[in-house]
Amino acid sequence: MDDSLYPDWDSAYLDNVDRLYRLMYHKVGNRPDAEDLTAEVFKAALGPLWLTASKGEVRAYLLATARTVLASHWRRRLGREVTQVDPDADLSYMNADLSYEAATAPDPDAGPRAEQVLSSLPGQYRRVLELRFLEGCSIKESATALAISVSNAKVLQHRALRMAARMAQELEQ
Amino acid sequence: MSRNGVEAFVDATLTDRRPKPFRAEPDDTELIRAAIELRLSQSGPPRPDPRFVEDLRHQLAAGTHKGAPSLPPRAVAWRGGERAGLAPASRWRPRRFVSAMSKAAAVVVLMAGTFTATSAINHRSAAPLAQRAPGATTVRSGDLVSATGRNLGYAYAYNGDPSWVFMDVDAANLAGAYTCELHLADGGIVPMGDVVVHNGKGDWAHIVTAQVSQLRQATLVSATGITVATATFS
Repeated sequence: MDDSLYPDWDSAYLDNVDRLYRLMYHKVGNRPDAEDLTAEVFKAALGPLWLTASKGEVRAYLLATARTVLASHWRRRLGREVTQVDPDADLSYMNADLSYEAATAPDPDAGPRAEQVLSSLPGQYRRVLELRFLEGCSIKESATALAISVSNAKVLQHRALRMAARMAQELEQ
Repeated sequence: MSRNGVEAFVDATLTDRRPKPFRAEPDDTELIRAAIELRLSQSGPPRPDPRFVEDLRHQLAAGTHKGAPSLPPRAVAWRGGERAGLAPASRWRPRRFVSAMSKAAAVVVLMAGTFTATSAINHRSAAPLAQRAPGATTVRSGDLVSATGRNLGYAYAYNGDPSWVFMDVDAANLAGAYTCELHLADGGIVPMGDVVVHNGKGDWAHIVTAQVSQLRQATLVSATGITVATATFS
C-alpha cells in the first residue's frame, strides 16, 4: 500500500478520478452510468476522509465505497446485482498505470476470453454476437446480414447471449 | 426471463446509453454480464470526458468534502454497555487508533468516518476491538427490513483491511437523521453514527476494527429511539 500522502483534496481527486471512472465503466459498460457512479463515490467518500490518510488508504476507501455504490446502483436499476467491485481483484484498477496507452488498452484477458466464448458457439449464434458486439451493427443490420427477420435476429441474439453466458461461466470454473 | 428488458439493456449498452430500469430475473444477470464483457472485449474502458472530470471537480470543491475536516468528530466508547467519553481521534486513521486503544486496554474501540451522499455529518462510534485476519475479504449482508416487512435498503459488513460496515437506505417515506446501531453477537449494541436520509435516500459507512463475524444486526433508529428497520447479517 502506498503510504505517501496527498497534499490536498484536489490532488486526491485528480489522481483517482480516471482510475475510478474506468473501474465503474468496466462494471456497467456505459458512459452515463459510469459518470454518475464515479461522481457518487467521490461525493460520498471525500467527505469523511482526512488528508492524514495515505494514498493507499484513500484508494482502498474509494474502492470500498465503490463497492456499495455499485451494489446500490444495480438494485435500483435491475433489482439484483449484475457486477460487483472485488476489493482484491479490482485494486489493480486503483493502482493502475495511467499512461494513455495503458489506460485505454483492452483488458489483456477480456479479448481472448471473449474470443474463446464466441468460438464455442454454434455458427449463427456466434455470428449475431460478432455483428452486434464486434462489428457495431444494429439489430436491423444484423438481421439483414444474416438474411433473417428483425424479430428472429432479436430471438437469436437473446439465445446466443444466454449460451455465451453459460460458456463464460464454464470457462471461469 | 425478461427478454425485452435484456434486449433494451443490450441496445443501450452497445450505443453507450443509460439502460432503462427493469425487474431482472436471476437468469438475466448472466446475460447482462456477458453483454458487458463482450462490449468491453475489444477495447478497454475509455478515459473519462475531460468536461465531466472538470465539472465534478468543481462540484466537489464547492461541496461537502471541503468543510468536513473542520467538523470535530465525536468520540464514544462503550464498556460493558456503558457509554464513556473519549478524546476525539483524527478521522479515518484506523490502524493508529486501534493501536492507541489497544495500549489503553480498552475493551471497545471505535472507528472512523461517517458519510452520506448529501451531508457531511461526522461521528465517532464504537466497535469491539478484535484481531482481524489480515487480507480476509468476507462479506456479509442483509436487507434492511421494517417491522412491517418492508424493504428499506440493505447493509453490508466487509471484512478486510480495513473492515467496513455500509448501510444504504432507499425509502420514500423517510427523511432526516437516523442513528445506525450495530448489534453484536455478545448482545452488545453500539451506536455507530448518523445517516441522513434526503429524498428517501441515504448512505452510510464506517470502518470497524472488528471481525465482521461478531456483527449480528445493523439497525436504523429514529431520533425518538424507535427502531425503524433492521438488517440481519447473513
